Amino acid sequence: MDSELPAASVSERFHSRWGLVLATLGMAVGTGNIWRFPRIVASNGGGSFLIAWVLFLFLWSVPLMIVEFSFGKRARLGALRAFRRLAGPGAGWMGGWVALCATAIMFYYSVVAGWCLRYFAASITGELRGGDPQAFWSSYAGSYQAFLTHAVALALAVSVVWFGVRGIERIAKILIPLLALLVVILAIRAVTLPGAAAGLEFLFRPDWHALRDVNIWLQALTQNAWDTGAGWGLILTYAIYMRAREDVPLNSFLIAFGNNSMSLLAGIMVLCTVFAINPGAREDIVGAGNEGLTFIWMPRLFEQMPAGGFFMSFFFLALSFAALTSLISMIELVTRLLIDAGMIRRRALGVVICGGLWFGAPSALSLAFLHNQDWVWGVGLMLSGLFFALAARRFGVERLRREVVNAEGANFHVGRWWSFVITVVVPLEAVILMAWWLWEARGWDPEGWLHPFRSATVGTVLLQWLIALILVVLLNRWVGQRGTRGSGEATS
Amino acid sequence: MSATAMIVMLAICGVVWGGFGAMLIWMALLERRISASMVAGEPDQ
Repeated sequence: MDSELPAASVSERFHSRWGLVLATLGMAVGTGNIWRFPRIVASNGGGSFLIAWVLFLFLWSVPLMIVEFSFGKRARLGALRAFRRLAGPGAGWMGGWVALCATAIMFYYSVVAGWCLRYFAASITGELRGGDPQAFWSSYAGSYQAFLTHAVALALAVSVVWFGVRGIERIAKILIPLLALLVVILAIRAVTLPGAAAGLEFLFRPDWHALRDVNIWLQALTQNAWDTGAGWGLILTYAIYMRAREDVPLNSFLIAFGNNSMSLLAGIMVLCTVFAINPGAREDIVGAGNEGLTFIWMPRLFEQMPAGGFFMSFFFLALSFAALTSLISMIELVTRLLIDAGMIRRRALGVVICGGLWFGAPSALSLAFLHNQDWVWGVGLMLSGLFFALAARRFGVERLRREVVNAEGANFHVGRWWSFVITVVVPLEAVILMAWWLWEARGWDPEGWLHPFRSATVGTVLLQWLIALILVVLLNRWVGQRGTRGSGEATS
Repeated sequence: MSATAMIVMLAICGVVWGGFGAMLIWMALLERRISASMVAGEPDQ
């Protein structure tokens, strides 16, 4: 194992626990909480879905967050080297996969963050008022303007990570309370609109028969895998900088519950607004997809609301904060990997911004390409979750529980249930989820489901995963050959 | 709003928001204690 590797220096730590918790919450709360959760609840049985969603919080999100916090705290290294150190050199490629998957998501996520910033600007300048949101979206998405906003989002996030963990902590302490405040204001506004009770009824009314539908359970599990950030490698990255005597279990539960609290508020906000303003179009709105709901329907709904321009600005500002804080964590993940490889932070960030601009450009200029990447690496995250569980098994799940999770600083001790979930339940969930999504994709394009160059096929997933796996195996071999050369963090 | 929807809403919001709020308060109390020990000269290693 890479036991000789110097890890992150003691001076690079979160100054306070609030800093760690707020930064990690910022990572977890992203656009998926605001634009995906309400749609998925609405189209999957409302209250029944919520029951399954809360259950999987304990069977996927929290257990994996505990693993991530433990790995980061124990190894004090980025994903690839942390896997090598804790699960053995042969497991480094799994850490490499986790890192590569999050990096690929970062490339197109900065495009999404750019969209949010552009719409916030448009809501302030009044460009969205009185016009046709569909036409505005069509002329903007996929154009050179989207590339420019992608560059702006990337530059903003890099300027925060430039100052290291202290920069991340400072910005999280400002943006996350503001984000929470904005979402609370918007939710209160939505529930006080005439007719909003129908939205609450729709959101919370359970359809007990729906609980027999396996798709609802799989959608609830997917939502946990995609919107809590568990198993992405991002929590591991922030945990590198947590203080030595800091707790793991309470932090994990806190982040998971905080993330889901925001999702619930977003669900109330969106569905109450839809039911109060335009209940007749709810099927169209829910079926419009993430971008359709957010960038076409929400401006239309705000337009019809009293003081709608004001609340529309709040909505897109909240979305921008959510996107930026998540983007910051992804950039820190890549930066940390480069620092582990011997670069100083500033040079690493130079590489990240050049790489981000270059590899994000196709997603900025083509929605089909962005959707392809979202599909391929979204399913890839399930494999990342599986790899975390497997790496924990290689280290020894009970040993991890005893030596890290329940070690000094733990606010409460995690029982053996966690070991069982990580050893048996999470791997089973990951395999079932991946198989289900790939099976579903077969139905989307029955003729060309194996086609490697179409947007959402099984073929494109298999081809890109194969290339990624070859890359991470080679990368792990290269890291092994470099042996125990030092990390550059001390010189940054 | 139907009684069933109301019960589910209270249960889900109670678990999620109540759980989050309770943990936040717990953490805030613990953090004060840890900060006090740091000030007393037990640096983080």
